[in-house]
Amino acid sequence: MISRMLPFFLFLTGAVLLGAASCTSTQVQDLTEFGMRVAGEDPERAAQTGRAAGQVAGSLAPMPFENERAIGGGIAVQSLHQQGQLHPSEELQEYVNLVGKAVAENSPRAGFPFAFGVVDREDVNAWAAPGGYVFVTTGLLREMEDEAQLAGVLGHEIAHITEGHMMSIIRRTQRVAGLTDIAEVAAGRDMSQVRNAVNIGTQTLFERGFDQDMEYDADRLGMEYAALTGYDPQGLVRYLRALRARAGERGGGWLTATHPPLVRRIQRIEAAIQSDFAGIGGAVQEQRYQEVIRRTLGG
Amino acid sequence: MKNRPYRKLRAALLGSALLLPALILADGRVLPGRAVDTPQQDRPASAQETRQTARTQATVLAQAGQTVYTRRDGVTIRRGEDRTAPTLVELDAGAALEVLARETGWLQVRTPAGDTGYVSPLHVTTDRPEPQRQRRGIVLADDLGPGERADVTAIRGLSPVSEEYAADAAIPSEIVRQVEQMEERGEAVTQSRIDQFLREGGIVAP
Repeated sequence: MISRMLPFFLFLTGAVLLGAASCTSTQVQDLTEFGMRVAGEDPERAAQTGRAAGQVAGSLAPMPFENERAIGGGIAVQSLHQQGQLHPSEELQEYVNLVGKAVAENSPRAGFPFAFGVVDREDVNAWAAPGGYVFVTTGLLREMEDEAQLAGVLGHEIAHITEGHMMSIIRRTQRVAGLTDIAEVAAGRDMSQVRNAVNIGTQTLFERGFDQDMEYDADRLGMEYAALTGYDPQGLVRYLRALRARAGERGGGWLTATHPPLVRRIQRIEAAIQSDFAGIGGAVQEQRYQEVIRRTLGG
Repeated sequence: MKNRPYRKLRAALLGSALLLPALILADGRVLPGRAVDTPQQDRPASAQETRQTARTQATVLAQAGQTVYTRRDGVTIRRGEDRTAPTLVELDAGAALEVLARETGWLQVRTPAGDTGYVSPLHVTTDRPEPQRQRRGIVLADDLGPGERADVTAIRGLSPVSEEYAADAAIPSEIVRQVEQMEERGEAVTQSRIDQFLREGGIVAP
């Protein structure tokens, strides 16, 4: 009997999953209940079907920008609180915003609200929060040599946002913990879950890091956004090579603690240059960069 | 009595076969309790929606004779293989170009109108661009079609949820104020200011 019924259960599972792919989580709940009713003879199998439907729909339900911005704003204030304060120079803040927004306009998120902040901190680091918040430290600005390098680094951070890396990690982590889907958290103002999402975000930024593939994607796309703006796409790798020569494997942030090994990142970027950026040059703009850094940060 | 579970299952199968495609086609509008996450239908079309960007990430290694496609709206086809060469035509996303030759950093192409020009490989892909893209494990607002996408240009300033979080987490008001200032600086950088900045720096898009 069980073997005769199996094809029907398989069909039912497939049909529920197919339906879930086009539904919100509310619909999935309805579908799950429906599946449980019709497969009532086998509660365990019905429950499996329901869970599978929920997982599929959870990964496919679109994330409204308002929610991304709400979680990202929380991560922005918390990360700035943890890392220090913005540098007081209006000239420096505007300069980084000009480079950053020029690059962001050449990403798939042209027209989205991006904001760039220089954090007064000597650690070499840059990070991004969902919704369009990008931070770079004065330590990193002092180490870079030209605008193309800055464009590459900001492009990398912009790519983390355009690719939804942080929101993907938050959703994945919260799902494993059995919490409400992040897409619904901000709308419902469930502050305990917002707090949880922000904690996952800041831990990802400063302790655990993104998945290595996410970092490689961000390197590749950051180069592309910079190149489309008109900057030398090799700015990013020139900075990483200089960083490696100066610092070896010390430090955290953009060095080793939360990113793949520099050697491997450089190898990946060099391979991408060979395959995708061959013969594509662009502006370096060393003079303007050096002048702004000298005027605002000294030295 | 022995066949009863089988008959119930057959009825369930028929029910699900009829109901599920209807759900998919109706995109859930008939189901009660569908909480559409964004009130998208009430929003005006945003300016950036018209600047649709092709979603494929594949950059081209095109060869002569191949067909490539523009990756976004406003791709410049130039009269020469130089960033400062005059514009031949600007094309929307998805325009098919025939590759005539591969030069260093440029492709010589034939446009849909039959003219010959040059385009940066960064602007084209060998795959026909998909209207929607797939990310790793998440679908974001900008993956939706222009008609479905929320007007992100209307979203400004720190979200009320973020503000509530900051109060809840006892973030100093000075930090919140700095993030708000950061957002204001970002908003103050207009497209014309960006264009001027790039022009002054001799930064020319390919």
